[in-house]
Amino acid sequence: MSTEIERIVIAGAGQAGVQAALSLRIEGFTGKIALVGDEAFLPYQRPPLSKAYLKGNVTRDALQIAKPALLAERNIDLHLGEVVSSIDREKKCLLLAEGKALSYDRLILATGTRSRPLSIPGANLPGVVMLRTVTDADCLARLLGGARQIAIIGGGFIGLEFAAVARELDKQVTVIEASSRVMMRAVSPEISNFFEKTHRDKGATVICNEGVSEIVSENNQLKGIRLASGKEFPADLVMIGVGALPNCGIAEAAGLAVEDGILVNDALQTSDSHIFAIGDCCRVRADGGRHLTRIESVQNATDQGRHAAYVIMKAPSPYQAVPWFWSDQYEYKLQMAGLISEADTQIIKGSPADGKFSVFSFKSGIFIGSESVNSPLDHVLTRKALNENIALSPDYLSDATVSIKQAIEAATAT
Amino acid sequence: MRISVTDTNGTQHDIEAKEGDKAMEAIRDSGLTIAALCGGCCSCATCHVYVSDDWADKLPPRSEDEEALLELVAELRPASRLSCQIIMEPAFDGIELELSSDTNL
Ligand SMILES: Cc1cc2nc3c(=O)[nH]c(=O)nc-3n(C[C@H](O)[C@H](O)[C@H](O)COP(=O)(O)OP(=O)(O)OC[C@H]3O[C@@H](n4cnc5c(N)ncnc54)[C@H](O)[C@@H]3O)c2cc1C
Ligand code: FES
Repeated sequence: MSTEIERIVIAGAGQAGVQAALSLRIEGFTGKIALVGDEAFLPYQRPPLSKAYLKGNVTRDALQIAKPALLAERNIDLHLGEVVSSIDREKKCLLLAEGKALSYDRLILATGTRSRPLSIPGANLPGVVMLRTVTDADCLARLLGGARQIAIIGGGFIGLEFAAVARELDKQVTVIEASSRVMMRAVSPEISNFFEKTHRDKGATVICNEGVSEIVSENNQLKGIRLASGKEFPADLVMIGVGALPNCGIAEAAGLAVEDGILVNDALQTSDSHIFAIGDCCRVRADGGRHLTRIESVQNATDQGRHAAYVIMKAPSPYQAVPWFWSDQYEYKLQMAGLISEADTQIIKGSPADGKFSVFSFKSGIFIGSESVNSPLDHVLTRKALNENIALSPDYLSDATVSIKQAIEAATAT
Repeated sequence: MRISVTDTNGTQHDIEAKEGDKAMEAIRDSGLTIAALCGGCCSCATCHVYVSDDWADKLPPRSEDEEALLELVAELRPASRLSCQIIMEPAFDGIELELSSDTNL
């Protein structure tokens, strides 16, 4: 498949794009690789932005995914600070905002997501921030120093990680979540409850089931937030963390199939087989037209980057990596494996009261994922079990005297 | 302090490290390739190194977290460590580490 391919262009120089570029070389691609990104910085990791970087524990250089020397050695042409404005599928070329054009034999879209804007009055006031880029994080870190009362709109991972950082700096923190529990899209009720309680115990105010109707100001000076119920909370810093939207504008304009993400088949090809999409911006369409969830994680970005390189150089094959994710809040590390949103049975092991436990999820008797709090062994064992398709029995595991390790051993023995 | 790092091609590099640095950070900041996907929070095992025989028993024992994560590596050896869990101190000056295949990007 690879013989007629001379030029590969990658749009988006983030976690997925960089991985695809490096993996293409590992797969033996010797032609030209252009990696185009609209940010001015060398490709960097985002997870520390809501964690160690905000606390000043990590420098900006340390965020870099790959050093310039490595990219140069692998002969990857980096075009930084350049916006891809459109794709000409007919001519197979990518048009940059500066009027430059890059022609391709294969194109990989790795454009990531952007923060979902909140369209309520006051959302553009100074002192109201979102967190996606290192520039956002620098701005947030600067404001954080002088802030006393912080309102966080959205109790997702980023909002809660930021809440933990702010509480550790002894700021007054209020988190407002519109749905019935925090991190609802991604975690089980037990995990939501645990972290809600943790944030409250640490002194944050957490309010669920309430929407924010307005960010209140006086003479363009931030004053606080007002909820739909009329309640008001004073704030001198407001962080909006209400999720992310996939960057699929250029794909859509080029006529590719798009639906909350650039749709790809299980070999990560878009509706144009010469164009791939990977990472946060894509949604894998599994057989039978069922749409898998779009996944926003480092694991997904890097594994799909590797997989796209494999498909381009070797042969189309289904992407099947087991998702995993982590989040740090206070002294608690949450680690997740698999996807648990369709769970019908959940078994808890360990002790939420002691801050050390795991939730194991099953769907129709099949093990689909785990969430572990300060229980790395549970995480690792279940990640391996998912990788190896080990058939765990929910009935056996639900016995309080049986550990996950024993359940896995029992399942592999039969 | 110095760390002697052998990369996955077998080339040896002498790199600088400061007291209190994680060995992973020193390796990353030297420009050598190390995936370290989770940025050092003991979640990914892509900072996996082998410590030379002379040094293996000078390091503090693996924590429970580190022990667990090492279950995920491609090739576990007695000398396997996560370099994000090695905190540099003067006694480790000159330590010899070999990058495992897990560290490739
Ligand atoms: C604050 C924060 C904390 C996170 N914490 C975690 C965590 O703990 N664990 C975890 O697994 N994941 C975490 N994530 C998610 C993780 O960072 C993303 O899933 C990952 O970065 C996705 O990689 P990507 O390459 O798809 O997108 P990105 O890394 O976002 O890269 C996409 C790049 O494409 C560029 N781009 C977009 N459109 C264009 C265009 N038209 N032209 C040129 N360039 C373009 C973008 O500017 C961006 O630089 C976090 C994310 C954030 C923001
Ligand atoms: S960097 Fe992820 S475990 Fe060390």
